[in-house]
Amino acid sequence: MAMAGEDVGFPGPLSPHLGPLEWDRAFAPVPVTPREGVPGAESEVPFAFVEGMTVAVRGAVDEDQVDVLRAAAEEDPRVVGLFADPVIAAAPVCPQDPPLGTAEDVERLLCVDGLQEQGMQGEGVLVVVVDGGVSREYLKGKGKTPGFDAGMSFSSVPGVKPGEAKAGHGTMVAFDACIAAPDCTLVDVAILQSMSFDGLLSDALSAYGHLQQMVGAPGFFERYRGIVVNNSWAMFHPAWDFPVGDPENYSDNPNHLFNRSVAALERLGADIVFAAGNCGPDCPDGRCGDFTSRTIYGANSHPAVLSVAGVDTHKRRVGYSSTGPGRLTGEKPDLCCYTHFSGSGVAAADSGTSAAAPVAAGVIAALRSRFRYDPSLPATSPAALRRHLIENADAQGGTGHSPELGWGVLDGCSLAAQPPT
Amino acid sequence: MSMVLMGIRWHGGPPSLEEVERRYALDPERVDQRFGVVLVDAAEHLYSLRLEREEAAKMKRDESVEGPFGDPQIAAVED
Repeated sequence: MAMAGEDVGFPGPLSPHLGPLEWDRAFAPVPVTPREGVPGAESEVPFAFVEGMTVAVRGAVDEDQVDVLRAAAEEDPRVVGLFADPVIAAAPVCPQDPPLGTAEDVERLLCVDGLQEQGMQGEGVLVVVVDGGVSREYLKGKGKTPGFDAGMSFSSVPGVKPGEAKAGHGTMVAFDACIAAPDCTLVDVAILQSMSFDGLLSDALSAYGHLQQMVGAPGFFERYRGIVVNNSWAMFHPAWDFPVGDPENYSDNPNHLFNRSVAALERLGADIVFAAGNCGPDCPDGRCGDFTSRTIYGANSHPAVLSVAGVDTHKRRVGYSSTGPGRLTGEKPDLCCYTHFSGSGVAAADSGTSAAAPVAAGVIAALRSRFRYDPSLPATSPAALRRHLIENADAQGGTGHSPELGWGVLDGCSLAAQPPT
Repeated sequence: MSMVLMGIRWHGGPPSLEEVERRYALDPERVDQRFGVVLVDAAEHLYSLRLEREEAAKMKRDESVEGPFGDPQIAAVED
């Protein structure tokens, strides 16, 4: 409320005379530029306290008393205006925004040093990048020199040889996985076309069949401490799929062949990570169309995977991060992890839940290098590790699961202090 | 043409595409040869093949056959 006149001595003599308004006595009057014709408008020092000047004061009124207040304000010559005081909040990061923070900030936030002091750097762990292909040469130029398993890698993208793709989305994903797991061994599974980032679900089904053959082979977990499969891809729009309820549907159908393949790979011992998606309500990807609710489709919401939403390096949800509930599992995403930072250099920002997922995958790989998967010990299963991540998440003051942040932000510092046993 | 995914249960180890085509009397010209026979779940002896919808419709529906299932587009979660 703006008030003018002789007496802006706050607010004692006024309050009994302004209807149902409850004054906010902690809010000091703020000088405002008065409208023409109002005392003080002619002042050469508009924001100095001068007699008769206009100031803004604050109070509260019950919604059903607003008309009563308006009537009282109209009767009081000292009141020059009554205005709403809406809630404001920081605008969430959106795709076109510049990066916020760096990969080094992400390292610090995840306590990568602490993880490494505990011997958790990804050694002996495979990180599978199911994407458009990885450029090992580019990674090396950026100081990332993970191992590479050529035998497990394969490409269904014409002209793309594993490890030798043009630096693009898949390379960014690999870089981000190496933030917490610099000593991991990469497996390049190229299924997305490098130019348009598109593929078909059958490409992923083929990839998962290949991975199952590898992981299911005798002695796999004697040779490797773990295998983390990162998936920074999704279906974006219901129109890409059969309708919900149709037996051919994928998004909501646990019986779809790919969703069953995901379950099978996880039962074999793979830690599977999926990006939640970029169809968040604040600033969704253009491919989402008008669909910005319940956009964690199919395997991205599978009960056997870790579904990862995105927060910036200030731990605020990025505006494009898809929100739950998930289609196959209601309580998705599971966790948030960091995105929209300056990192790989493939683009200005390592962004999207595309980046958040492999950052989380790298943390899992780091944990597995000390807490290896043992098929004879259920306490080491992927489900047990997911529970451990959730129990140690930074809930950001919340209680329970939220559709925006899941169970909270992945907390590498807590995991370093309390590694799995 | 519209392609679909079909699930088949096959005991005794992974089948070759030729074995599957023979069993279900499928025209190889209408089956995705590059996709082949893909393992879905070894514990369930479940595999997948990809073929034209009209060809899939001819498959005899016994307990060994599931589907069809859709094959939607996917994309990297990035601008």
